[in-house]
Amino acid sequence: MSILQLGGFMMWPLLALSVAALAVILERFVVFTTRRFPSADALEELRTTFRAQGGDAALKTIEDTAPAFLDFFKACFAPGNGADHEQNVQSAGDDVLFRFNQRLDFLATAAATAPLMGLLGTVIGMINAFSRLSSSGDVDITMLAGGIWQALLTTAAGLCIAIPAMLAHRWFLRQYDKIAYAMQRAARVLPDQPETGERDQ
Amino acid sequence: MNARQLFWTCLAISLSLHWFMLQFHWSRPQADAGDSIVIPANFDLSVASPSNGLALEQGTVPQEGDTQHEKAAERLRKQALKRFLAQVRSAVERRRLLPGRDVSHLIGNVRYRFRIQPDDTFADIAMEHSSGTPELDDAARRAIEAASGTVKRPAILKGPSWTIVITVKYQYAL
Repeated sequence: MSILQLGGFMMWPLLALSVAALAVILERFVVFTTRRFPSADALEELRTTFRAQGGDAALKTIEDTAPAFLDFFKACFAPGNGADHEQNVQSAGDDVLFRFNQRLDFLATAAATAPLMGLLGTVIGMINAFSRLSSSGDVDITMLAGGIWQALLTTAAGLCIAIPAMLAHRWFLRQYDKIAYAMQRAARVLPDQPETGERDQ
Repeated sequence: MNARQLFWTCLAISLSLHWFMLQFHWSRPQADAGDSIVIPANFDLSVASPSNGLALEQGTVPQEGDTQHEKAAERLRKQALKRFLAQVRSAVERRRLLPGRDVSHLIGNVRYRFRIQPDDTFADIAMEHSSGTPELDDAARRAIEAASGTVKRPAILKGPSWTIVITVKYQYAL
């Protein structure tokens, strides 16, 4: 018998949640593992390129190595100074971080909701089991055990969704924090470039 | 691949993985050696067959589709098993005081575990809890051996074997 039939109707929303959660985990995993922020050494090389060959060459390097952060570096290498420049860099950085933060809220919600949905399925299953037991008038421990066994399937399913979702969410948040820190550091370092001469090349 | 294409690809992969996992057959694990271990909780039932159990089942279970039929059949099997086990217990109880050795002056409870084979004979008779009196322990074993094969299972229960635990009670004048 299918596990969906065994667990009752609450298995269907749990299945939908599981499909969506796994899709988000996979998608975010690809995003966070393929879109790495340039390392400290790469940033140093970028500074050198910027000084030697100008902003376009540096942006070309970024386009090849870390295209997800192109807008951020464009803002960093854009001519200008002062509060407006900082505001532009901050805005570009926020945009990049927003793209990384996409769907993480859904993952947190799934991790929190799945056990509750499973618990609800268990409670409904227990109600059904005891209801059948009371209406049958014939106390059969196998009927009770069978009902409880099936009812607990939804809790198990909920936990099977919640645990990976929570672990993945924590890991994604950690990567997000790392990227945010690296961007802040880069935003502090890169404006130290000479403000005249090379930028206009 | 842009972000939207990536998400839909991942969703398709997730759907495929779930579909693959749902193809597995999920069932309760069986007891060792294919036996069903019967918890001795159903022996309070009357040994006499209840009147028209099938009609009762049909009255309480709506007959809609194969699943309902399977459930009704399963419940019938459970009821038949309970009646059969109660009859086995009754057969053992009737043979507690076999001629040859008088144990009517002793009291005690002996718990035995044994397996009911597909041909309704008993095997693997093992004492789980002694009464403290070897005579009673022997008498209970002889009662179980004497009852072996005397109770025939109904046709609906043909096939499996069960391991059950029975407590044989010896009390004064009982």
